[in-house]
Amino acid sequence: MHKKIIILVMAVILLMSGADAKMGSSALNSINNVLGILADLCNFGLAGKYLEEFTTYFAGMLSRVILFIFMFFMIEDEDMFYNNIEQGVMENPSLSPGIENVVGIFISMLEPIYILAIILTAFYFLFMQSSIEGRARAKSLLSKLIISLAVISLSLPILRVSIALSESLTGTILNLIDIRMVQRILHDGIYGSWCLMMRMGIAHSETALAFYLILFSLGMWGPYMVIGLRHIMLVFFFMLFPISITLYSFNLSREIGRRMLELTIVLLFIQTFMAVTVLAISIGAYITPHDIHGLQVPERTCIPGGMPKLTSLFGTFGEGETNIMLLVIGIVGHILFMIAPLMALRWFKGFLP
Amino acid sequence: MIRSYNTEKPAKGGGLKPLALVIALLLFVNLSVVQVSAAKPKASDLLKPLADEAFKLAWKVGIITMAADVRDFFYSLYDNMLLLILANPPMNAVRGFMGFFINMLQPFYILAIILLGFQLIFISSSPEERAEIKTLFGWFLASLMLISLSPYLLLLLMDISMMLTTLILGIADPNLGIHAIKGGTDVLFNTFEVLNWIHMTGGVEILVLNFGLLLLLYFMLILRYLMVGFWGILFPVTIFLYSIEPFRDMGRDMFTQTIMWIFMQVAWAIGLIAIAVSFAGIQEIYPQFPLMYIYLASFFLFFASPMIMLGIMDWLSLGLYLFGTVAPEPMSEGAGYVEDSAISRDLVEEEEVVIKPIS
Repeated sequence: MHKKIIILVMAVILLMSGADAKMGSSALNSINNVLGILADLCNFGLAGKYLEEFTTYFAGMLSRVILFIFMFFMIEDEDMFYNNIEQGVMENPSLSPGIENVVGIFISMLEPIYILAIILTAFYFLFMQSSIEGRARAKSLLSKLIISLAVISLSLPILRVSIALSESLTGTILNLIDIRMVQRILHDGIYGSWCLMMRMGIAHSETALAFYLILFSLGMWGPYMVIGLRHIMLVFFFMLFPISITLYSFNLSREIGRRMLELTIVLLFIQTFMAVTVLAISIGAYITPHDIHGLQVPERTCIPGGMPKLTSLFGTFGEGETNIMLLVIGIVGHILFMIAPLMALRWFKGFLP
Repeated sequence: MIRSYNTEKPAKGGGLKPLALVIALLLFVNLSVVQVSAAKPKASDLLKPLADEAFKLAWKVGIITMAADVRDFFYSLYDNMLLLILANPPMNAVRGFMGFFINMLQPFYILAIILLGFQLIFISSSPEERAEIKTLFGWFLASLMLISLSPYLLLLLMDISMMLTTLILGIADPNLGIHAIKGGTDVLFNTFEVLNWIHMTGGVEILVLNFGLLLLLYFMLILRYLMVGFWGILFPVTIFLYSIEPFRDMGRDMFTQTIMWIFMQVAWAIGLIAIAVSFAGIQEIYPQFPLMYIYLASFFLFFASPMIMLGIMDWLSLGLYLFGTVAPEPMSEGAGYVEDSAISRDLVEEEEVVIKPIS
């Protein structure tokens, strides 16, 4: 693949140097000469006028082709989502000193309050004369306070263990999948969009709008935004973990504490859900004409047909063609990956007592 | 029966239209000739705009040809529609992934059952507690069995759905429905074509809409295929969550989703047949009704059929909720019976109930 690109670049450089030898002393001069000839076309009479018209359209087409070729290098870039799918799924916020400090501040704020509450409750339990119910309630409150103090003090180790558990489960699921196959499926979807954008955009740039949007919204922005949002929200809820425990341990604030804890758990284990999504995407590899008998899978080259030499030249940029199944499955794979966390947030709630 | 108003004779004044057009054209030509003669242009001045227009026309032909080519690429949707509606992910692939979850959950169940047995034999004291443990025991055993059988259950659900879909598609000619849906996208493409002839950038939005809708339709069909695989893989987890009290709501939701995605093909089949029947019917009843609107309506009805299915699924989730509420009752009764027979007690003397009228 890279060899092909190098050969192409070398061919362009050689051509440029040839033009340079004929027309001027430097490469810049040669380009100036070509542009000068094009600008003087109107002086060549009626034929020049036709040529000028043709050149205007042709130059527009050429500039679009060059732009699309640049876009190809962008979609082949290592920053594209499908190249980082495994890292994207496995990505978790590390309990950096920043998070540890914030959690530490909350713990140091809450611990004295808890100790005071425990002392007061114990004092009430031991020395105050009250009803049996009151003593029972005090006893129950005392045990709750002690347990939640213990959980709060152990916030950081609990978070570490939870992250390790989620990562290990996700890693186990990802090990079931041939990640390269999934990468291939997702890449083919984006490549197909690029291919159709090129095919449509050669004639007119605006007609390629739909494919252009697919290319960037799904290949780059969407999945990374989902991963990034999960990361930020997880950091947020990690920081609030001691507060969530505190709120959850009191009847008055149990509802909000429960929701916060549930969100922490769900956001953490969304990566497992994402791994299952990747599993489901790998099933897309089975949608082939062999498995669904009679399925028609039309193919299209990235440039208009009928020019085999040009097609083979454009084959330098990827396969040079796409088919409807590769395109659709790849794009649906991206969409599925993006909606999985939303589904998890929608369904996994109300599970804490 | 709705009758067409303009089937008998043309509308009043309809014959005057061509005459008015011809007069307008003659006036326009006359005006142009006068103007051009007055300006005394050279041949080259006339040829330049002609060359311009010729290039533009050639370019427009290029744009439309290219767009038509990509449209044909997407039109494979209509050839594949029935196959994709009926398609289900291959069970061998899904079963392979399900196996992971089954193997992960089975030890948990075995451990839970052992612990429950231990509690039943050594720890529990009151009959109520023992009855409760037995109920749990029954639930765990039943769900362990269901989890082990989950690939077959999934296969059964997929087969039932496919059978229903095939049955519904046999009611009328589904190709008529597909033809009507295709008409919707044809309408959009023809509009683009007309607008593009007028101006080079004309109708581009319509074309983008057309391709967007075609892609969306393809996405929906393929998304169902992947989602059936997704929920199929998670089916053992769904059963597991449903069998545990705190997670029952979640399990119920997941089960509803599994059923919904599997049976979405039935909704599409019903939608397709509804389109086919209404398309044929409306042409008979009201021949003058512009087909364009029927085509567009058909296209959007097909889109809406899964949403209608979602609405129906609300009823299903209600059913599942009722099952979840009612099901433990007989099981606990059963456990209570076992408990009653297990502990020794005196025989109960049966009483004869006599209903007497109030005097």
